[in-house]
Amino acid sequence: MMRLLRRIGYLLQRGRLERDLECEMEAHREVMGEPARFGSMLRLREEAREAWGWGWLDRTMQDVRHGTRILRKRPLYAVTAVAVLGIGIGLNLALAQVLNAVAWKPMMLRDPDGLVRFFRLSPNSSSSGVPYQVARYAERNRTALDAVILVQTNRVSWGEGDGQPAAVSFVSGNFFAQMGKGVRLGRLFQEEDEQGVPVAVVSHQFWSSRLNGDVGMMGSVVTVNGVKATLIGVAAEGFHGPVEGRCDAWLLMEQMDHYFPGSRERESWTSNNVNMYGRLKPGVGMQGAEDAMRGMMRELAGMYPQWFAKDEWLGAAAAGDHFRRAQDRQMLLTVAALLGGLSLMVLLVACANVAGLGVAHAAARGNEFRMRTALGAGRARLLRQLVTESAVLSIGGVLCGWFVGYGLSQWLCSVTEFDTPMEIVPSGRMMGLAMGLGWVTALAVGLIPAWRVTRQNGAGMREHGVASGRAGWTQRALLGAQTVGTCVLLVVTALTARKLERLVAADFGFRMEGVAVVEAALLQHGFVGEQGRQYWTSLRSVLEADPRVAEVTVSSVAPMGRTVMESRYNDAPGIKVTHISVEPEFFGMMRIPLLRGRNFERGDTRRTAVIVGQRLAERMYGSVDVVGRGFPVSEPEATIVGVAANATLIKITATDVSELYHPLETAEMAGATLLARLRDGVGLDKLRDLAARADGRVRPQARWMAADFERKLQGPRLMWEVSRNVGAFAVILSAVGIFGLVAYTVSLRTREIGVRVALGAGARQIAMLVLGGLMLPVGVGAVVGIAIGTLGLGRLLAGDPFYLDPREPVAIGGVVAVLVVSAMAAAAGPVQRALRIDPAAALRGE
Amino acid sequence: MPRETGVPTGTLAMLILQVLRAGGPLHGYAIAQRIHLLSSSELKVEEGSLYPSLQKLLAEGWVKADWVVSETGRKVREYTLTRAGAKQLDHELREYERMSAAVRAVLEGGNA
Repeated sequence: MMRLLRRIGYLLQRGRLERDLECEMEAHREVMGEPARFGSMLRLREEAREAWGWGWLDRTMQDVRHGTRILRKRPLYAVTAVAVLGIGIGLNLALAQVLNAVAWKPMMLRDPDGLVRFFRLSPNSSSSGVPYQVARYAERNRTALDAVILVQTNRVSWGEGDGQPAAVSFVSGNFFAQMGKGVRLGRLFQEEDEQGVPVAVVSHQFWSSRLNGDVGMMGSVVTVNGVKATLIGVAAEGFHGPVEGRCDAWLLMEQMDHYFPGSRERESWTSNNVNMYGRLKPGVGMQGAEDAMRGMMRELAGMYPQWFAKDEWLGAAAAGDHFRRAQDRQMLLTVAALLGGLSLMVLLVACANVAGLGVAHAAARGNEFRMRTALGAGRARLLRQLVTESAVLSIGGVLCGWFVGYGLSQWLCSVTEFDTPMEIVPSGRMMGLAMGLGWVTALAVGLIPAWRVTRQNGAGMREHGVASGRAGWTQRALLGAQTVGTCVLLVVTALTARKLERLVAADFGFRMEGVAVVEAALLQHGFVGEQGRQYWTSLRSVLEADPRVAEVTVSSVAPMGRTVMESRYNDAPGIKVTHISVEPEFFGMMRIPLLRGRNFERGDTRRTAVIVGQRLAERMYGSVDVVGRGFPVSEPEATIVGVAANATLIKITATDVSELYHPLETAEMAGATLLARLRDGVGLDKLRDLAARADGRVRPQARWMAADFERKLQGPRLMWEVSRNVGAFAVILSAVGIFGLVAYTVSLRTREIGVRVALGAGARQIAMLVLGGLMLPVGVGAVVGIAIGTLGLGRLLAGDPFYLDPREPVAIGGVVAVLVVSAMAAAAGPVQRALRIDPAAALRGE
Repeated sequence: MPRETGVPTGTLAMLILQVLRAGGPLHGYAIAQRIHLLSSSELKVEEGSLYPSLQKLLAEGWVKADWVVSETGRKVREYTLTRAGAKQLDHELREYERMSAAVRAVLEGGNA
């Protein structure tokens, strides 16, 4: 330790200490009888320096300075290399930032280790929420939990008049005590607030942007959904609770009917609207909590068999896993691995490209290396020098990459509405990753040219113009590697393009043109059951009376809407079933033909009748002639009365879903949606006017179903845009690599070309001579790359959530075409130059 | 006339430390002269090895160096043995004795 401190002390005072040594040696020389025998002071100073152990640092700095000088003389090479590496590294960092925020970074919650989230599960279905009354029951009867915390996300309008939308969470009174991470201003909720005046806490982000960071606002009155609440505090910076995405403010769940008058959500035993979290008792693990919950659900099934099945339970997920269950983590891992692999592929292409540039760059310095070898530099010395130079490039690449990554991740956040703030100041983990990538690129980019150069006994590259059969094979290998990476990325690009193309042109099995969706948030206004049915009946009669409205129906969820209840049945493996409750008019209005059997009739109930989608029938029964059979096969819950033609109503990108239709019952009416097909030329505002007349308390929202479809296309569109840009980047890099290799070949074989031209060789032969070295690496690279993209990645890409079908010969053909065209364009310039070589000048060595 | 040879490999550090223990603080030239003198002119310390060796001793903390004004009025840098240096010297002396005894034993045994 002391030794290290002394060495560091020497480093810090080096100048002074070396001057002392020089004086000392000078004085020694003066008193010597034969001063000439003292020897070289410079050499002695260097040896003395070595004694302190910093010789390696000196040599490295020397190499860095030398490398920087060399790079300054070749600014185009330096800038290109830094930019290329920057983009490759930046892409990886952006992805890592997103994954860090989504999965790795510890959640910003108090003592996350003890927190779990509960999901309502049964053998055939899952839900991320539980009914409010179930959560309260769990709280009253808790054995394995110290506390139960309730959270429900919602949207309100904030501010006077119509206000601006705000994303809020309704929470239980113990929310901040159990999960909060401190307060920025004012105070946070306490359990007693549930009985007091309506209060609100805002997020730091919301307070600084929408409320202008006004410190004086604490205690003031704010308007939420048209009613008053007292703003009591601002949460700590960066805290947004356990939910993913933005949370602008927190309100108390016990005060929900203040903001949504008549709301009956808190009486519900059936709507899975509340996210339930728990804090484990000390010594209790997740399994213990799940066991306790299983017991509780069995109790509830005994007490309320009409609402709870005997085989239901509550599964738990830990805060350490970002409250994700195993299968969600698995999917995230698959997506992350795939995206990670692809972005590393980009880095591979970038490194191969820069390494190729480096080989050519080193080739041009043949004289320098010959001189160094003559002066005594060994292979290791040259290797070290070249690797250090590439480390300089890598440092530039990492810095550039950091900004590229930051910009990319900010852009991703903005287009996906995923609202976790990205850091411009690197956290330890991100910094470590960036440095790791830097090292990897430095080695990859530096070692190859270095090894290549020193392999020729330090003699640098061949004499200018002398042909060699093995000339540039390193570059050919690097080009092959680039081509592999480029083709993989191009395959993904082509597949996402085809997917988007198919989606835009697809027939989903129903007609959405001219159909408007009307939603009324009836539950939140206190409508339940029969009241809901009456509301829709009233609205329907208003609409049907208007000649501008052609058809009207009500369903539990609108086609092209958000995800609904999804099940898997053991009898139909590999198929996800989306449930939708409809009126009999639904099929006619949406133009979904019934292939077998009959439509629903008044009097059908969930327990007596279902209509299955064609795909589901074929998978479960092997045929569409299933009318009269029980559904599902193994444990029938209802009878199949009809089979509907395939209609992809909700998950348009998926290929493994099918619909299951139930008769819409009164109990579901309050949460239902109205669909209205309007005659040509009729606008939404007319519809809104009509709808508002149905009930003065309710302000229904209307939108086109086609707009929902467009919103659903955002995901595939984003995938296409990202992969298109990445693919273009890879193609450009490949083209640069090809250009470099061909130009290099031409410059090396100038004399040979001159000789051949003098002997009568035509343009074609010269072109083949020059391009000959190109065909193999590009050809092999393309075959390997396309194989990896379609066969290797094909299975991963074909599944959730990408659903890209790799069997697309047109798309693959497109990849080959792009590659050939870009290669030809890149090679054109150097080939032209070769064709214009003057034999006489070439032979003279000019 | 005594033959002047360089200091045996690996012993210079030990000799310097010993000279400093016996003779107190000395500057570089004086150290070289003292070794030459005490060895009856057998050992000649090359300047090329003296200063690197002194720097190594400084790095290890076995000696420390200070600028002083000599009797002649010049500024000189004197080296002083530290406590760690004394310990190291004892260690090296032991090692040297051990090696010498081993070599002697071989030579004497070979003559028997």
